[in-house]
Amino acid sequence: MNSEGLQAVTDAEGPAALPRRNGELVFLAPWESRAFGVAIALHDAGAMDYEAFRARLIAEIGAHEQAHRAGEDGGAYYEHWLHALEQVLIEEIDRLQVDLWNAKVAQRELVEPLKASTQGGALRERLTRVSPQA
Amino acid sequence: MSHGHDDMAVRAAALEALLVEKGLISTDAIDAVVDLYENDVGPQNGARVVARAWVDDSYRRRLRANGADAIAELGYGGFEGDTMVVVENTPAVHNVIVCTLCSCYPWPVLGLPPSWYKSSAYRARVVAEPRAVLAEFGLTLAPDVEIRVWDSTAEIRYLVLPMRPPGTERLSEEELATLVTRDSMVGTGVVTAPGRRAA
Repeated sequence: MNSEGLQAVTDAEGPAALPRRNGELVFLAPWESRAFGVAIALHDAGAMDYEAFRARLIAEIGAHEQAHRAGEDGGAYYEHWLHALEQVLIEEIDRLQVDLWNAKVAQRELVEPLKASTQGGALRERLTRVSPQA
Repeated sequence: MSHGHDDMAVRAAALEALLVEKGLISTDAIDAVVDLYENDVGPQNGARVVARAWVDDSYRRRLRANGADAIAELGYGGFEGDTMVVVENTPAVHNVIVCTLCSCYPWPVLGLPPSWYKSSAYRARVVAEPRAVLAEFGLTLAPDVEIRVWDSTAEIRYLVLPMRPPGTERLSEEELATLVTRDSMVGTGVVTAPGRRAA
């Protein structure tokens, strides 16, 4: 989504308007709601130790604040959330079949962003070790 | 450090696709969670709890004795609200809640926290200088009012029971609930009677 697209969904009115309460957005972008939903759905399904996830989230936030003196306004919160989720799940990857992930990684539209992201790189690295034919 | 939304969107989508394909979770389940927290769960729940406590003194006592049980009487409860401690404002004491480490917040009664609650500034400063932070929210308390800051944890969620404003004696419980703001239940605001401004 380009910046015009993001502006469209942050405008209060109109078909692309995101849900908001008290005049505030519940989620700043749709991907935040997906990252949130995934974590809670995993918890509801008993598929993730939520306290382990929370501990990772706390560590992510703390590490970011160590590195950035100015701190932040809470807008990057779901970046920490997704990082923490990926970290907790990386440890679960060995138990998952990797074929689908490899297939998706082979798909062009995912390869570049995954290469660019640290977590994507770590996941691919892990998958390459588990299943050599990446 | 902020990543572009496109990058985050692809990562979130890829993670969801993998987990759904592997059968750990379903798209429907994710959609239901998002729908719940975007539309159903929010501060209007807490407002009803507060209004009930204002009109029913024995409910208020039960709420203070066991927050989660009393909140459940109104049909609210669930994740991130298993243990609730309700802290009551009085003319002598004003309560404020925070989560200094992340963003622990009483979801069943307030929904998801606003960005400012998750900001480093709020989380650090409200503990260190609560009076100044509240003033920035437009809330100036008399110097003799004690401010208590409650740091939420994985185990305990707090909810502030704000004071009922004067001049509301004739309002119904339903009407009272409409006066209760999210900020008053976090402690960064108070409830004012209709047509009045906070001092």
